[in-house]
Amino acid sequence: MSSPDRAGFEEFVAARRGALLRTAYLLTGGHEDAEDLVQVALVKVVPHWHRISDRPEPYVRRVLARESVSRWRRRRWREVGAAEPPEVAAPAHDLAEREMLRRALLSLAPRQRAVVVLRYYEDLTERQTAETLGISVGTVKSQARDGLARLRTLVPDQRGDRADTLRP
Amino acid sequence: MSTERPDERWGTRLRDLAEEAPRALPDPALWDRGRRYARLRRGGTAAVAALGVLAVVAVGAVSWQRAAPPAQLAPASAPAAMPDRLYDPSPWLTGTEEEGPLGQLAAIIPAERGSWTGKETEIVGVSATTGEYRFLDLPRQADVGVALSPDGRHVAYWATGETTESPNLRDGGALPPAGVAIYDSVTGRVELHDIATAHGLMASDLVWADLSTLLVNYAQYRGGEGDPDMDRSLGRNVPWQVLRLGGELRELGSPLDDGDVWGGGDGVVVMSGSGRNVGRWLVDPARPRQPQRLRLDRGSFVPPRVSPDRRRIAGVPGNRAPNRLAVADLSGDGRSAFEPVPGSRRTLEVIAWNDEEHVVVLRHDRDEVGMYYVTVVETAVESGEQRDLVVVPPDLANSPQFALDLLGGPIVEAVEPPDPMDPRVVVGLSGGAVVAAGAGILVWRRRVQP
Repeated sequence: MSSPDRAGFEEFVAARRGALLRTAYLLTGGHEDAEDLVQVALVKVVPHWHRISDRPEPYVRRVLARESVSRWRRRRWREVGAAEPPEVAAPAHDLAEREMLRRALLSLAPRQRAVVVLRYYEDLTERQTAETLGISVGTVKSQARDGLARLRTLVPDQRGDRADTLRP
Repeated sequence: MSTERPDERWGTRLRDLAEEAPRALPDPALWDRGRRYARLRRGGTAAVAALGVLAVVAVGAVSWQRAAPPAQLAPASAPAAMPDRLYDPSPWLTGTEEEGPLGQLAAIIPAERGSWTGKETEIVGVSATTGEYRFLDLPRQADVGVALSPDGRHVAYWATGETTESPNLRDGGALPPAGVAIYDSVTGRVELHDIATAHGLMASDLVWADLSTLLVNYAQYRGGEGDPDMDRSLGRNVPWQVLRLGGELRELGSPLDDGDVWGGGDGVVVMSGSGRNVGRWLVDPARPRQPQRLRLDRGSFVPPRVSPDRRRIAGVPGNRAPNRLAVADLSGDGRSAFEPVPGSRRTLEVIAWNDEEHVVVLRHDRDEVGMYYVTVVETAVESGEQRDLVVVPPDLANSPQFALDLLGGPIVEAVEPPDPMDPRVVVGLSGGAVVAAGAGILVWRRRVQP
């Protein structure tokens, strides 16, 4: 591949690596795993760069999301998650809430987790999520519904309630 | 109350969590690693594809090698000779329509012929010059008997054809015989003789009296499709017919026209008579109205053969075979007595006389593991001394027909015919190799990691 391709690729990586790392962190729950996932995804994109260089984002996101699912199948990672759902009266500290959300997210199956991240973090539509992961729209709907239901059980939303009680 | 929808709340919470993601660090080696990954992927793909191609080539090579004609084949100009053994033909041999005629034949063998949809019994010819085996593609062949001429140059067979009324269809809907055909094994030309018939012919016998005279026996079916079962299973007898090469089919004109032909040889046939003609008769098709009564001391025997000088007759007396070979002298005035030939207890049948002192018989033999097989043997009628001519493998039993005139000539080492692979297996294996290679490529491209 020619130098313009390389330059374009490196420019894209410089601009979007941070965003990719954030998505990868939500998908993997760990710093090292997130960096590893983004590296692998970007390396896998290189052979196809000449085809996608005009609009690389959707393809890169697709590789990232699918790799997050398939690597779990290969390595059978066992992320550490909460053994029991937290008590309703959760600690108010943001760090603790983030940790609870991180663990709750990790307790989802990899594909379910990817659906939740793509739908509610990346703001993709159901169809876009389905195309990214190579599954049906119906599966996206059911996985999103079940994923959120589990998250609500593990990490109840306190802020909305507190806002309600505080308002006169 | 929060103004955010529930899904927007989750988006906010996830974005909040994502703030904990690691900071992006530059990695200038990514592009090069990507290139190496691309090379690895291409290399693996090429390797799997090459394996697939290799597998297809290997299947093709094995198939070609098994189908290749033997290197020891004699040229077509070689003198005609009988091979010293026959082989069980492969169902996947080529045919004369594809490869051309075999030339003078040493033998013909009924054998199963394979096709994409199954197998059918057809006729394999064994060349008397090259030793090749090939299916004989006989136009309009009905699935009943065939007869090889004594010199191996002609094959007579029953031919299907038009009927004037409903045909008497055979098993599987096949048309009945409606004529006689003679195939020239040297030129590949066929003489077709259609016979006028309402429902088809109940084929009975095709017998070569000599190398150019064919005796034909059949009946006319009384009914065809849609007729009562009784009519469909019965036939109206027709007198024996005679057909000379290049001539027309006509009545033999013998007073024994309702008899059976019991072998013969060298231009004459032995026919049985009924009524006032009961007994065995020697009939010369050239003089059919002057049959010679055979006065024999045995009433029943496996079909006999007459010596070239017509002075002796050889057969296997009795109703069972194998049995002892016996010879009777026809030259006396009284009843001819069969004299047993020493050491000939395992004789199945007499098929020819090589000269006035030697007959050719089928002998019943058993191999070292107890399997029965047939050997074509020349036997001296006085001493019983035997000389093995042709070994027939057990699977063929006594089904082959031989060019009888060649049994008195040189015997040559047989050439084993090719054993081609079933083409369906070849296609299946090749297709399987392609599919496996395709699947392997897919798996490789999915599984290979940078």
